Amino acid sequence: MTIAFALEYLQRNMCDCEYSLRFRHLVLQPRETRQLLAHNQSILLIEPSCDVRVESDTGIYDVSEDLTNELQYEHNGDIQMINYSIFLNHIRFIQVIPKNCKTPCQ
Amino acid sequence: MKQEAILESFIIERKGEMRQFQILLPRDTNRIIGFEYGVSEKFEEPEVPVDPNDNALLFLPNKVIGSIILRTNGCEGIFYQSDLIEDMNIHFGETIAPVAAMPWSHGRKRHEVELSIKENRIVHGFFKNYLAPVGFNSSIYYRLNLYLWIEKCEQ
Repeated sequence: MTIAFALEYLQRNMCDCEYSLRFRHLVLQPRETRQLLAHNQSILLIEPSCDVRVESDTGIYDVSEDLTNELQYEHNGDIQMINYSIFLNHIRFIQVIPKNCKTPCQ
Repeated sequence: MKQEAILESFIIERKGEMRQFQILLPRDTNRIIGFEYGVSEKFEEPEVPVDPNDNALLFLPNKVIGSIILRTNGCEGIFYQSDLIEDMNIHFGETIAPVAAMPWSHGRKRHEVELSIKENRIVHGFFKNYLAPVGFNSSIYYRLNLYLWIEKCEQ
């Protein structure tokens, strides 16, 4: 997912909710596993590397995974990020933090 | 209000299989009012008891078949997340196909929700299989049925 598409995706999918965005760029050490709690948030992966695994309650992104029928770029809930590589790696994502809705969803 | 049930059904046949699916709701859908899910046509290699001569004290918990998540786009996000457990209490109607493979729902909205989906007509689902029989040649096979109850707008 590119940044431009992620922003367009948000505009079309977040109904009337206001939200704040943070662009985050994680640096993972070799073989590092990192947890991220995003129960009331979403994260949108931006051009992820092929040797990282991102797994959450709503899906998985791992190009070496053969047990799933689809990879997911949007994640919520308990998110686990794993760097498979023996080198330093990066994960970039947009963190979407909803604020209170002006008008409740109909 | 007119009500309808939509069936989503797929087969799981690998250990650790994860399945993403989408349910496209009709254009005149007003809201989701309930859903129920269960497993039918299940085949699993039988487990060998610890002591084959003494089955009397062999208490095993109900197996967790998998976990299911349903969500919509937008600020609603995840609206249901739970585990699917084998052999739930059939007297309370907690499973769809208790005895034999029945392709239809028992007609009760097992989990009732009220979710308006006037703009986002797609429900995304994610199912993770936890059944993992032990053994090199062991295999599993079952069909997951998800019934989504919707309420349509008056014409």
